[in-house]
Amino acid sequence: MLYTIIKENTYKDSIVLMLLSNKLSAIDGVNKVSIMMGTPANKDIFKSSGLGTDELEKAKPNDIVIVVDTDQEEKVAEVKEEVEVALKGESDSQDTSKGQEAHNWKRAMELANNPNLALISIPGQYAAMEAENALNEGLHVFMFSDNVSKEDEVKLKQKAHEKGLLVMGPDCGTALIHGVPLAFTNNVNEGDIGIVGASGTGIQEVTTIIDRYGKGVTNALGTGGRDLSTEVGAITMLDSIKALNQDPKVKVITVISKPPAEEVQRKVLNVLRNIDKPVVTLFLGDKPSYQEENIYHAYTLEEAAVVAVQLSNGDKPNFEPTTVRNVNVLLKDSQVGIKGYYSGGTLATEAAMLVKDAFKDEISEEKKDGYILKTKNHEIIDLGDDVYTQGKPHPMIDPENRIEMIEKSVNDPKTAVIMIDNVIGNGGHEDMASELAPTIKRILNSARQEGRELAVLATVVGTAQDIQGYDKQIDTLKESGAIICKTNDQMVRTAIQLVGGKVEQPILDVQKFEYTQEDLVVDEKIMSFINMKPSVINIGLKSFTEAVQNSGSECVQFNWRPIAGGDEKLMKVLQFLNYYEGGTI
Amino acid sequence: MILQASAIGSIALQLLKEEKTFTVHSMFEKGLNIVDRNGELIFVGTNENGTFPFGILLDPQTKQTVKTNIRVGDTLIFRNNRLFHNRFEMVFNVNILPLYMDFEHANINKLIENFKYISFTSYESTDFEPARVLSLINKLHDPTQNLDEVFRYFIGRGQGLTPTGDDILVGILYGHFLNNFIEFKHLETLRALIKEPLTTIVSQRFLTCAIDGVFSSKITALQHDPSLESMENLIEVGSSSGMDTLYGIYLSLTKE
Repeated sequence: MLYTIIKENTYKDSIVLMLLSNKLSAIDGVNKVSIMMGTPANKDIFKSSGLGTDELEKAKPNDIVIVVDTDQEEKVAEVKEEVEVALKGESDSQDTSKGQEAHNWKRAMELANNPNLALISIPGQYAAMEAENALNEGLHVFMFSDNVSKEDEVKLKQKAHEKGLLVMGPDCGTALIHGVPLAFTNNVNEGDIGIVGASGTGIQEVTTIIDRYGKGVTNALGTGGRDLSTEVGAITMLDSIKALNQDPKVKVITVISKPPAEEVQRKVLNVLRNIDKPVVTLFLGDKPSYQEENIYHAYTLEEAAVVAVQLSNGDKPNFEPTTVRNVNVLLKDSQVGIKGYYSGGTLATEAAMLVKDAFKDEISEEKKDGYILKTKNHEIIDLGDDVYTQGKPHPMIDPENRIEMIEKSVNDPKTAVIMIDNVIGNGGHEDMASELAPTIKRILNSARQEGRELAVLATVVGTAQDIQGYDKQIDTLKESGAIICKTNDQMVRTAIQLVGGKVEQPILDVQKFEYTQEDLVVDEKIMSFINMKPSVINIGLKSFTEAVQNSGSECVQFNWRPIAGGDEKLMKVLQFLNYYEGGTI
Repeated sequence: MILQASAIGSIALQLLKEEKTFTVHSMFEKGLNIVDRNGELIFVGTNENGTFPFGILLDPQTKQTVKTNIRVGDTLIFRNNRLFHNRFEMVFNVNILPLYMDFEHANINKLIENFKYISFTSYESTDFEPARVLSLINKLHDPTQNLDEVFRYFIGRGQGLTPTGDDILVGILYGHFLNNFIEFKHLETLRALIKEPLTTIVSQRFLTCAIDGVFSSKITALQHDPSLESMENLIEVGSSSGMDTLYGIYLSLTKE
């Protein structure tokens, strides 16, 4: 029996039609199949090859015509399905890479459609090698993996820079490339603010605040925490800044980092002083001591975000810190301690900075492993620190450690305020608020039974577009009795106020600096990278592939296994031989 | 969102008239086609398959942006030298792609010599076996022939978006411009036939241009550089289009 399928006014690249033709011919029970445009000459071919049908006559030159010869009618459904799969969507190869997995570089490169980014999350000792492979294949690199040596980082970044490529990381948790979130990233609106940051949750806090102010981000480029060290010399940061400067879509550039090595900070500032676009910098931990005509030096993450929004709106920078008003908590005089249990490292750092600033006269800091800040009364802990994640998932995914800490803090009668962050978005727990809520309720109750009150402050880092639902997370936490703060800045200032302190915002003069001319040109490959959705080869965690695909970008999963039985030395020899350029093949 | 075209072909430029509307006709990996009310087609996309006189050239990232923001059937309006879509506008302060009609510069002997290195045996015992194509070519310089039926055989026949027969015809026409042999009468017959619904709109566009001596850059490259490399670049176009075109050129230049 002959069956005719006509797809009116459908155009596909010839290659798609050929592949489809091969696929259909291979179906068991299909005797013969032909796919052609429905031109008069082709109708003749159908007829002369025994595939002429009455329906065929209806086809027009711009229709795709498929005639199938099969004795099993049920095969027609299968054919139709294959046809739909091949012809659906307006972009042909968009879906072809979906669902395909590779086990080596060659296959991955074949399966991917013009790949330009490798996302690497395999164990640290192997990550550098695969990053080098990726660079050799001409791909930009996003390294989620940590435990990569600094020497390797320097080597990789230098190589990338020479090739006009970008290495984000190692230990890079966050990036938004042309609207595509990588690893732990929020779904943020597109806009005209370009961000480059050496800190994951720092980028998350700033981008989500920008989003909630109704503005958006072109790109958020993560550099990894060590990029601004003396050895690495901010290679990725500098290339990223130049790229954001060249990108006409970027109106405001925002730079986020912990305080860098002094000479590196000088280098970064010198490049920024060459730039005409307004710039916001945040070297978190440093209290700015001056402002510049074109560079706004922020003190906190919220300030950086708010000023970036103001500059993007063409307004003058004007940041007023806030605290939550009308907090109905009666604290005893003996309750003076602030406890911060963070899942976001940069948020914890910010909290420690503000608490230290507020109580600088009365604080003597105790250096203790696992604490960002530990004084007689206060403690700030980053539960994402290696000390707490040995053999355990990150606190953004697993609430267990945090619950334990919160429970314990109630035993300390000095505790007045407990601060909690809830970082949602891609990669995060699907409903962290519901995990924490029962504990919050319980400790508030048990304190009350002991005749005290407690303030549990919480902030949600996220946007309305995040899958967990920003409002839902807030509602759940609120219901448990937590006081919701809009930002980490507001949360920490509220906590400080509750125990009788205050952080002064710096009021600063505008200073002028000499600077040396910098070449602001950046490789075309980096420009093209930040200007389109990346086509990704994901080496490692499979969930990253799904996240990339869900945002409408292409991603090929590379199921990596160590070669040479995981023998590092042998792997390195093979690596060398594979890319040895002196010999012949 | 403001997007910038990289270059524009002269025919596309003529079609972009104030207040004229275009419809997105089809989308491909390398770009998309838009058509005006008269069915005149402009290709908007990258130069991976060469540049076209009826093309608007975009860099890969702009092409990607356009493709993610546009759907088949969308309307575009040309106004104040800009092409407007409800999600972007495209500006055209760009170079006009040169039209290479300097066919006299072609080194035909060199081309013929290099054809020796390319195998066309795959066309034997197909609908376009050499004897059949050569028979057409021989009739093309005979003014007494009526070629209506023969052209109808070729036009729109074969695989692909630009069916093989059409690509071969484009190749033969290029051979004609390098080394005049087709009678005017037959060109007019072909011109009339192409207006009929005998082939795809993309093919119609290529053929109408070819009759006027206007070809894509991957083809005109041959008249500036008759090397094997130029031929191989042409072969890479489409799944077989480039090869089919080259086959037409080959037979029309080696016919004697």
